Amino acid sequence: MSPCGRVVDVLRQCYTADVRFFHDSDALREIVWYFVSDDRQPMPFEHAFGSRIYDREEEVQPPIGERFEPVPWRGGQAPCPETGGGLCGTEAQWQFGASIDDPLPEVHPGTNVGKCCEISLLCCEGGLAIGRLGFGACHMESTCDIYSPFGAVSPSAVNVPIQFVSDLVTGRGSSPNNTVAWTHYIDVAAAVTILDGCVRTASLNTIDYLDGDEVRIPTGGAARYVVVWVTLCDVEGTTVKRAYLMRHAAG
Amino acid sequence: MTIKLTFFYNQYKQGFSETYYQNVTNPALAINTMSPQLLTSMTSFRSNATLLYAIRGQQIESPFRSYTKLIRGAYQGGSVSGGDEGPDVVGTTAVLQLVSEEATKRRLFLRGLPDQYVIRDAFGNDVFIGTFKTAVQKMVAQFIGNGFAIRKQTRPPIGGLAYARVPLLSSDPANARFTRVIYDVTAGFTPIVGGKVVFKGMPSGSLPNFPRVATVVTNVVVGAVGTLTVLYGLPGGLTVNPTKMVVSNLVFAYEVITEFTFERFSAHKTGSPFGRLAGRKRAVLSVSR
Repeated sequence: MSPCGRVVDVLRQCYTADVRFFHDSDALREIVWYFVSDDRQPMPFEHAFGSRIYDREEEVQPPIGERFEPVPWRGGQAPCPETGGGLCGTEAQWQFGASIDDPLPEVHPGTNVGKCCEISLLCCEGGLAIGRLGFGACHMESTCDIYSPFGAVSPSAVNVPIQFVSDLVTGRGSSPNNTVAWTHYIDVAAAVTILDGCVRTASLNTIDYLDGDEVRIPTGGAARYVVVWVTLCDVEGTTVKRAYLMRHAAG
Repeated sequence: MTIKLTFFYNQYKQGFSETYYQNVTNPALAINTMSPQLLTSMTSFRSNATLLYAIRGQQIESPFRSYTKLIRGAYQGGSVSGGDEGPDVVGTTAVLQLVSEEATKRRLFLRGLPDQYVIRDAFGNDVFIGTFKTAVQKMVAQFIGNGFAIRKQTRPPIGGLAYARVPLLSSDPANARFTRVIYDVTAGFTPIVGGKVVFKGMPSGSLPNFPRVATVVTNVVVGAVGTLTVLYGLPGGLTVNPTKMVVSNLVFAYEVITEFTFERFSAHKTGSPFGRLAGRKRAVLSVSR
């Protein structure tokens, strides 16, 4: 289920919240409330997934829909990629909740956005600025060069195919306090050697951040990124190596 | 079924809202069939910078559905003699008392008004002009015609508290967050897990910032003694025996509007959160429908 960028409610401030979408399961999913432009279409029918932010003090928690807590404040920026039309989910699902057994919709490649949504490949949060109208493509196929360690004179690998994603909003961290922060990430083949520099001190459960490898995107370009974290993940059934990057210098 | 109707107004891209209740089942139907006369009466007397932006209807009981209609300024203040050069969303020149069939009163801060509605006469008294009075009468008449209601907190049975125990702060954060509240079952008080309860008479010295309204997390009854827990904790923990503290279920009644009076009006802006009613002139004129 997704409103695909439609107006779901009217709020003064935005926040994130847990929502119970399923009538047959207690499983929760996180949603984000964000501001949309005045020309967006509203939800076309009644639904059980409006904001509960003003109900917490005095109303009873409904069985489905938004949970009263926690509701951390969020700046209201649109997610990336931003959706600008369409609607995922039937009227019955929006009113009575979905079933945990309902099939998941097909998604746009490289995203978690259902094809029932009209997708806009424009980033609204800044960061990389390549492409039409000065906005950057959120998801972009490209190639990179890897320098190991950061600042090495010559690359250890060149022309590495990547899926390049601007991820500034979700990547905000408070490094180095037990987390890492990033501005972008790339997906590369699992066999590619690309290393982060994070370590842990014995007997402490915190991450000590250190620079990892250097990545230049695109190949031969001047834009430099430092690898802050590397992990394996599954993308459409294929295991890839996902390297989270902090931009070091613009190209 | 009762729905909560929230009218969102914008003025110079800042906003305020007014909330009423209506005894209907279908929020979408209720909003989509609202008469132009109602919406015009709610907006036309306001300053021309004020527009009705959206209406939201929400069921306040199961299945808790909501519906939002964007008006986007189709209904806008018609007064050209506004005088406002900036938003007055946090202040007003007039405060109404909406009165229900059971004589319950609800204060309504009328925002987005032209400054010229209230003037100071030659004797130094603040008076409102006749067109404003007529416009408000039309608006309230529409409220009455559409069965708009106001909400009242009722007085359900009270459970006298034997004592409230705030547990010691321990290594288990979950335990430190909750307060056990002991109550007398024979008082007829029956809390429901997940429901809301209201506390009164909290000793502010020993239980600072104890919530007035809280959600019941657990409830256990053994004999004539019930124990409920709510989210509240104190560093170090504390056990108190409050003599005046009582608890009751949070229950609302909804009563249709039948009349109104001007409570206060002033040439100076009044209202919350930045303005204050204290010291403002109380209305000398009551207006009946």
